[in-house]
Amino acid sequence: MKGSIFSCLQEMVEERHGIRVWNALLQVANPPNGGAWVSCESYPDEQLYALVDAMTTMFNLDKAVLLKEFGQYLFPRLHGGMPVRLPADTSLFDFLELLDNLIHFETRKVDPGARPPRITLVSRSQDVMVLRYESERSLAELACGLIEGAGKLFAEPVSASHELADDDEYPWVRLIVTRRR
Amino acid sequence: MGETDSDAPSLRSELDDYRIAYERERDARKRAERLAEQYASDLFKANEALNIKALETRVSHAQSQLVMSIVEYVQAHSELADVLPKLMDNILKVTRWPVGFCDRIDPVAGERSEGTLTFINGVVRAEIAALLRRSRGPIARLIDRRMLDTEQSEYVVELEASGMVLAGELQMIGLNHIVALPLRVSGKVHAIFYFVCPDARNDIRNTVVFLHTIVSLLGFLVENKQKTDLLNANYSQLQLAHRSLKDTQEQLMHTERLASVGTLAAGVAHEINNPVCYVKTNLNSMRHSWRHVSDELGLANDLVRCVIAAEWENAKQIANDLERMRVEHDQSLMLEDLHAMLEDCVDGTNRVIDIVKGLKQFARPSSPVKTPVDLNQCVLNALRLTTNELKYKANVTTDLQPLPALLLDRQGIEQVLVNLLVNAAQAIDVKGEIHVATEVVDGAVECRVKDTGCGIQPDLLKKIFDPFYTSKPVGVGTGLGLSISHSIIRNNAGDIDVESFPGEGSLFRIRFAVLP
Repeated sequence: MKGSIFSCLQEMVEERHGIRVWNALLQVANPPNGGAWVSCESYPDEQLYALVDAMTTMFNLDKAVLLKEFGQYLFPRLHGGMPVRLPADTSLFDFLELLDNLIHFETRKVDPGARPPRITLVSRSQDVMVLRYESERSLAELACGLIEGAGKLFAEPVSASHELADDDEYPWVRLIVTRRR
Repeated sequence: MGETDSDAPSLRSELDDYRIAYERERDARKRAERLAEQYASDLFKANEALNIKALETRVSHAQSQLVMSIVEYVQAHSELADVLPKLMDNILKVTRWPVGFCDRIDPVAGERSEGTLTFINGVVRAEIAALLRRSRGPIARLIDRRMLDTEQSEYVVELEASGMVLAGELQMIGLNHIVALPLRVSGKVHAIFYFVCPDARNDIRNTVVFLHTIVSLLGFLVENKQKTDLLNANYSQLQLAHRSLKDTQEQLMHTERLASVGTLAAGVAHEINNPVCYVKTNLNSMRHSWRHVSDELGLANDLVRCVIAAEWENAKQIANDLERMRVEHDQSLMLEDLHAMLEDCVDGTNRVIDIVKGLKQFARPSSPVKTPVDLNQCVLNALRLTTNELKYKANVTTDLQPLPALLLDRQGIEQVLVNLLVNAAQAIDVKGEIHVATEVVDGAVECRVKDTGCGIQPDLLKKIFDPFYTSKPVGVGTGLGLSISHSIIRNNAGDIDVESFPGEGSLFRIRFAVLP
């Protein structure tokens, strides 16, 4: 996981709860570098999981809710550093459809060590889009939060949920994106 | 408003929080700075590597251009003298060496054949250029013979150890090496290139290897061009020889035709003699009849004159004389005979004209021209020309089936047929048979000439189409007839073969494919 993700989490916690709470979370999660992450470096995923666990305990929140909130917070910051500039009239659904072949593809080119999830289109209608989510990290909640964050940024509000699908050889995660009226 | 006692712990606690955050962020910053330094260092090295690559690419590009220019020069110019100055200029541009010399060598004598060409790279100052020019003599004395007397492909001399005159002055301007390369074409030195180069620290080795390749390539291309020129010259000579052979063949064919005319002459003379004889007999008879006609016409004229003058008695006498003469001469029979004799004379004259025309056509020298031809017509013409040759030797029969037109050299084909017919007649001792047949067989037009002559021995069969082979007595054949016939048939895209049974006769078969 890139250091920039940890920095965003820190920003979110400090914005919403202050430096003291972040210090406390670090004490509980106890990362080896004491929390001195650098954006461009990669760190073990476990360090993020430990922080999220500490947060669920401290805030008494469901982990899914927390990850989704973080995803919503994270998206605008990730979008600013995207390796590809999209046309101004790109819609949210177009963006989601291009995500894997364009954004994640370019991300891997810029950082060969990056392991972004694989998100492919299953179906698309006027208001509903179904995507297939494949990631070794199993952070589907974070993905849903990121999609909702994208909806907000694109001024096309959506709800994103996920479910386990078993209509294939192996179980897979289905992301359902629905426009909000 | 000052701080209260109760605020102090809270403030301390808050300060602690900031201190912790500060220390953590400082650690992160230091880590980031280390990374930034590392990235900067990596970037610098990558940039250095890129610069080296770019330089290598530029050098490689310039070298490729040099190679291409050599190929273009050699393709465009035939003279080495035109190529060398351009090559020297380009080498100096690519190597950036200040000076180069080029000596043409006479490949046979092994001596310099022309004055030295000196090339100064544009960046050299005038006084240094003068020094470089003066250095040519000492360099030649140091190197020339070694290049010419050995098969060494390159020669690099360190000035410091050379003891050469002007070596010290050249070193003063940073030139420490002389590079010499001979241009060898087919193993012989045709030119020597000399270059004065900077310090060895500039690593001249790779450049020398490259120049060696360039000069070898030039040598190879020049050699190749010389061989190509030689080949072209040989080809031109071959073309001339071919043309001359073709002319000779045409003359030979004409000679053979004339020989056939000679063979046919007696027969043709006889053929002409017959009509000429009866034309003469007829003319004699007509001269005799003419006297009667003249007498009768004289009386008829007198009669007309008496009638006009109304001398009726005289007229009656003359009419009686005329009637007596008419009965006496059997005038109607005489007129019939005269008419018949005139017709015979016209026929006889036409026959002579035809025979002479056929012979003239046959003997006329001309290049083969292919026109649409009916092979049956050729057979008939050949038979007409050889009538007298054949008629005392054989009964000639024909079976000429309708044939499609063929694109053939008519005169040549008639010559072949005359030759086959005369051969057939000459093969027959006493009276025999000659049968000529034409038909379409398996999509090809076939003409067969069969005789009941003496035939040909099996061991001689394979020789009969060889030039100058003849089985006839001396003076009878040229020995070229069948050889030329074979050549004519092949030139008309046909085939000729023979079957023969000694004592029974021979069958010559000519075949031409029918074009779709």
